[in-house]
Amino acid sequence: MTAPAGEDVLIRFEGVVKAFGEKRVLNGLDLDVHRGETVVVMGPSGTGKSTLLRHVIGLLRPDAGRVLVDGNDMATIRPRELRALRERMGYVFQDAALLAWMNVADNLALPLRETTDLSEREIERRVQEKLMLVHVPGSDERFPSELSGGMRKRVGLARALITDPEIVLYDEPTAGLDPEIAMSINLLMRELRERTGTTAMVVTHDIGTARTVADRIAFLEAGRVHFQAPPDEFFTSDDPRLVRFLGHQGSRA
Amino acid sequence: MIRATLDLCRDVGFQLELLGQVGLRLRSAFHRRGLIADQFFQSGLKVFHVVLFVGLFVGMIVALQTGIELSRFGQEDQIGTIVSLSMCREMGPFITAIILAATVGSALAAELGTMAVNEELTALEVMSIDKVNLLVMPRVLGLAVMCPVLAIVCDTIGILGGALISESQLGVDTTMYFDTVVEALAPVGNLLGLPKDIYTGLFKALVFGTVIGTISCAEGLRARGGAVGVGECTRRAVRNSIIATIIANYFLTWAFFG
Ligand SMILES: Nc1ncnc2c1ncn2[C@@H]1O[C@H](COP(=O)(O)OP(=O)(O)O)[C@@H](O)[C@H]1O
Ligand SMILES: [Mg+2]
Repeated sequence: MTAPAGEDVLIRFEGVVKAFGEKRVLNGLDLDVHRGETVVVMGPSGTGKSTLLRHVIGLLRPDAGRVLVDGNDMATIRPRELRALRERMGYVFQDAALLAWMNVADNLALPLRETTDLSEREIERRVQEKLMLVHVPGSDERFPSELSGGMRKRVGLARALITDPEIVLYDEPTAGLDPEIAMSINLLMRELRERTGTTAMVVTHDIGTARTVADRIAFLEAGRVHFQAPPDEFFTSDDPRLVRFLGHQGSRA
Repeated sequence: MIRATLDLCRDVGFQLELLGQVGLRLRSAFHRRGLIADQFFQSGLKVFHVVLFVGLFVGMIVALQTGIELSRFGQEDQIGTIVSLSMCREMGPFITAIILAATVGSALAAELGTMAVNEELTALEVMSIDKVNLLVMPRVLGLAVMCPVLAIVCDTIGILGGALISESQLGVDTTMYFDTVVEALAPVGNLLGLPKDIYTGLFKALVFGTVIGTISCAEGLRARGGAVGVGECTRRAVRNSIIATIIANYFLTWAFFG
C-alpha cells in the first residue's frame, strides 16, 4: 500500500482514534515524524503516550484514522510485511522487559538467533559491539535481576539496537533513574542518533531528555497533540496548559 | 450463566488453539532440545521425591482400606490384585497429575504470567520471536513426557507400599503378594508388550500432562495486571488443570473400560 505521505515522512498518524472499552485514549491524533528526526512525546500520565508508540510497531490497531509507517498502513499490513517492518524497528521498554531466565548476552543474542541465520561467531561479535555501545561491557554472564535499574535500561536499549534498526521507539527511557544515570542515557540516545541517523520517537516525562534529544516536542493531551514545537520554542511557550505542565514538572525536578 | 458459558467456550477455544500451535511446532523439538531437556528436569526430577512419597502412602492406604474388607471374607490374598490394578489404572496417573498440576503447572503459569505482566512477551512479539515455540512447546512437551514417566514411578512405589502393608498388617507374605500382582497385570490385551492396565494408565498420564501443560501455559500467557494478575492466573491454572484432568479421566476410563 502506498502512502500519500510526503517523501521524508517516515511515521504518520492521521486522525487516530483508539478506545479501550468506554475510554477514548487517542481522539483524532495527528503527528508526523520525518526520516532522521527525533520527536519527543510529552504529556501527563495516562494520556496515551505508550498507546501511541504501540501503534507504530503494530501492537495496537487504530479504531479510526490511519497509522502509516514508511507507507505501510498498520491497520491492514500483512503479517509477513509487519515482520519485515518490525525488523527495521527497535522498541525500548520502560522496564527493559529482558527475559529474566537468560543472561545479558543471551538476551541480546536471542533476536539474532531466532530470526536470522547469522553464525554464532557473528552473533557474539554483534552482542559485544552493542554492549560496548551502551557502555555495559563485561556483564554478559549476569542475569537481568543482578543488574541495577540503569544497567537494565541500557541492556534493554542494546537489545533494541541489536538488529541495527532505522526506527527506535523509546518508552520512558529514563523513568525511575537518578539524574546522573538519566543524563547518561540521554547522551547515549543522542550519540546513537548522531552516529547512525536513526529516526526516533521518545516518550518521556523528563525535561532533560526532551532538551537533550528532541528535534521537536509534541505535547499530548485529551488524545491529541495539543502543541508541538522545537525544544527552544516549546520550553519558552506561554501556552497556559503547557506552562502548568512544565511548571509542575519543574517543581519536581 | 450464559456469560459464564461463553467465557468457558472462549477459554477452551484458546487452550485448544494453543495446543494446536504446540502440535505444529513439534517439528522444531530437536532444535529446542536444550530448553526441552531443562523442562524435563523441571517437570521430572524436581518433583520425583514428592511422587515417591505420595505414591508410597497411596499404595499403603489402598492396601489397608481394601485389605481390611477383604480379610472379612478371608480373601486377603487377593490384595496384590487390587493394589496393582488401582495403582496402574487410576491412582498412579491421577495422583501424579495432581502433584504436577499443583507444583509444575502452578510454577510455569506464574513464570509465564510474570513474563506477560513485565512486557517480556510483548518484547518477544515486537522482535518477531515465536513465543509458543520458545516458551510453550518445551513446557507442554516436558509435562506430557514426564507425567507418564512419573506415573510409572508412582505405580511401582505404590505397589511396593501395598507389599509393606500386606506383610505387616494383613499377614500376606511378599511372594504371594507379588504373584498376584503379576497375575493381575499380565493377561489382557498387550500393546508393545505392555499389559492393558499399564498402557491405558500411561496413556491417561500422557493426556493429563498435556492438559496440565496447555492450561497452565494458556493461563500464564493471558495474565494481566501486575503481581495480583500473576497470583490470579496461577490460581486459575491449578484449578482448571485439576478440573480438566478429572473430566478427561472420566472419559478416558469410559473409553477404555466402559
Ligand atoms: N491494553 C489496554 N487495555 C485497557 N486499557 C488500556 C490498555 N492500554 C492502556 N490503557 C489505558 O489507556 C490509558 C493510556 O495508557 P498509556 O498509553 O499507557 O498512557 P501513558 O503511557 O501516557 O501513561 C490509560 O488510562 C490506560 O489505563
Ligand atoms: Mg506509558
